[in-house]
Amino acid sequence: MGVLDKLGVGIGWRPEIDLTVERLPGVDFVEVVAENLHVEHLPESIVLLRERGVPVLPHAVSLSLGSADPVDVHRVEHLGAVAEALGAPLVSDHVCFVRAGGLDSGHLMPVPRTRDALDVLVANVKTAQANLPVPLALENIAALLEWPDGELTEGQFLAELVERTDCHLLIDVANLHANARNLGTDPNRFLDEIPLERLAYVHVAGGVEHDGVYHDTHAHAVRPEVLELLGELRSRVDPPGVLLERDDNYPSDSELARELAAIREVLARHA
Amino acid sequence: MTSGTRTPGRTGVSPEEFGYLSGGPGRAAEVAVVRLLEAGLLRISREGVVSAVAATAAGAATPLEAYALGAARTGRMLGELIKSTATSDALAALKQHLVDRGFLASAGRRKFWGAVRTLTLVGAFVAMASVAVFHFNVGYAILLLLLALVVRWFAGRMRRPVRRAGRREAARITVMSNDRLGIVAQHGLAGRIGQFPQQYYVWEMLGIAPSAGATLRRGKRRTARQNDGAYYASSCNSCSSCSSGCGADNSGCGSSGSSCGSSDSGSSDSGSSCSSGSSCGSSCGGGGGD
Repeated sequence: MGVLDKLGVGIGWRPEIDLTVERLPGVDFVEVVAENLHVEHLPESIVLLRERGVPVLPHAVSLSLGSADPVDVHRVEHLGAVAEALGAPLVSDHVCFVRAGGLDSGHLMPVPRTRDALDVLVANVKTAQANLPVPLALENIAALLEWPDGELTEGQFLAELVERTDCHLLIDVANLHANARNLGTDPNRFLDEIPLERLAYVHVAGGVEHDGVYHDTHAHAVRPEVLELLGELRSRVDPPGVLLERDDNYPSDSELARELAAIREVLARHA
Repeated sequence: MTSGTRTPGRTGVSPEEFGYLSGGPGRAAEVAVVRLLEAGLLRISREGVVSAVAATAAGAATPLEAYALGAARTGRMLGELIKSTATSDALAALKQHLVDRGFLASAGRRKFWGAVRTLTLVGAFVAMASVAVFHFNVGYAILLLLLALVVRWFAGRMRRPVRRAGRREAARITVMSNDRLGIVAQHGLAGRIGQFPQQYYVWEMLGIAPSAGATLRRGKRRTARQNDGAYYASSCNSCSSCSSGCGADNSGCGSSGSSCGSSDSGSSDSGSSCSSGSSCGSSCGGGGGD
């Protein structure tokens, strides 16, 4: 993977915290939401980070690779153009669908874990890969529900997806925690089943629990349970990168710095 | 002047009130927003998006600050936030306080003297018309015309938003060069300070990025009417989206890059023009997320 061997610890770049991201100590890489960028008018902050040599990885949310509909090639091409404009070593999206029958869900919806759905997903991923200039990594989501009649566990589903498409994995440990808390899945079994050697990097995010339901808000502090999962993952593999996601209710610079330090501490402790 | 506090020893006005007396409601709003920025309760992005650092009003020292903090909770362009704060109930209360203390003219007073100004115009016209129609004595007509002009000038002075007591109070304040909040109150964010040719904008002094400062670009026309002082007119485009809303052809968000005019005088209008991109982020609610 070249540069991915040493991405380090990063943070999701958002317009509201651009200056914070620029001045936070020890930010090794950042991730941007690809759909929010215009190739012709990259934000000044992003340009500055690139000039400093900070890798900027585009992260998509709209390819809807799990849709029964064919992939929208224009969206893929936009993602590829953003990657080229940023000199990014890879791009990413989710194992999910966000559109069906001409309707947008407005949310990342889980794909049924059946072999039929996997065939559709594999076909769409291959189409996307054929139209992308850089490798594609796919992320596990926090599911609101599980479709009935699943034939594979999530780990098996992702493992087969990787095997058939040669894609990389972007593992969100907060989503793992959400699924464990809300759906009763086993994060350790998930980590046992996925091909960790294809890990591109890791997402860490905060959330909050209400009435026994974990909400993956990206607007709260990272919970200890999520950091524990990161430690569990780190004890199995040295991830090329770990990225903190924060999308709302942005805390102070020092609070964000503390969260990044906590991630580094977990990585070091479980090395 | 101490930031965010009254200075009863020297004057009886707070920084926000000093801002109002110096530049109108927009200036008072600027003082509140800058105080919050300086205190780390608000953050401003390179493109001028201002957002609350904590999702509470804790730390706000005044009702105006509490309003600005709440208004910025979801992130707003600097010019838009100032405009919103300048038209808030908290600002109206601050204004009323200044009216009650005799520093500002009341709406009724301004209306009265505005009517007097109009009447002088009517009187002058009648005097001139009488000369032509009724062969009124030209000397008397000229005398009446001059009288009307004098009354009109006087009414104009009486109609000014800041009364003599307010101007006197503001003049008593000496802003030190290291008093950043005082400088904002006196000159405004888009005002210029320093000696020619080393002049710079107040927002530059505060470390605000040029693209964010550009959102404070002043309009060329003084369309705000002097009645209530400064206000901001903003025109912002936002590019927000959610998980699937943004398509490949969804052009992102540009940034404004215009320059700022300068003015450090009292009441005027300011226009901001900006565009921002808010992050799609990821799906977050419920149990779903990325």
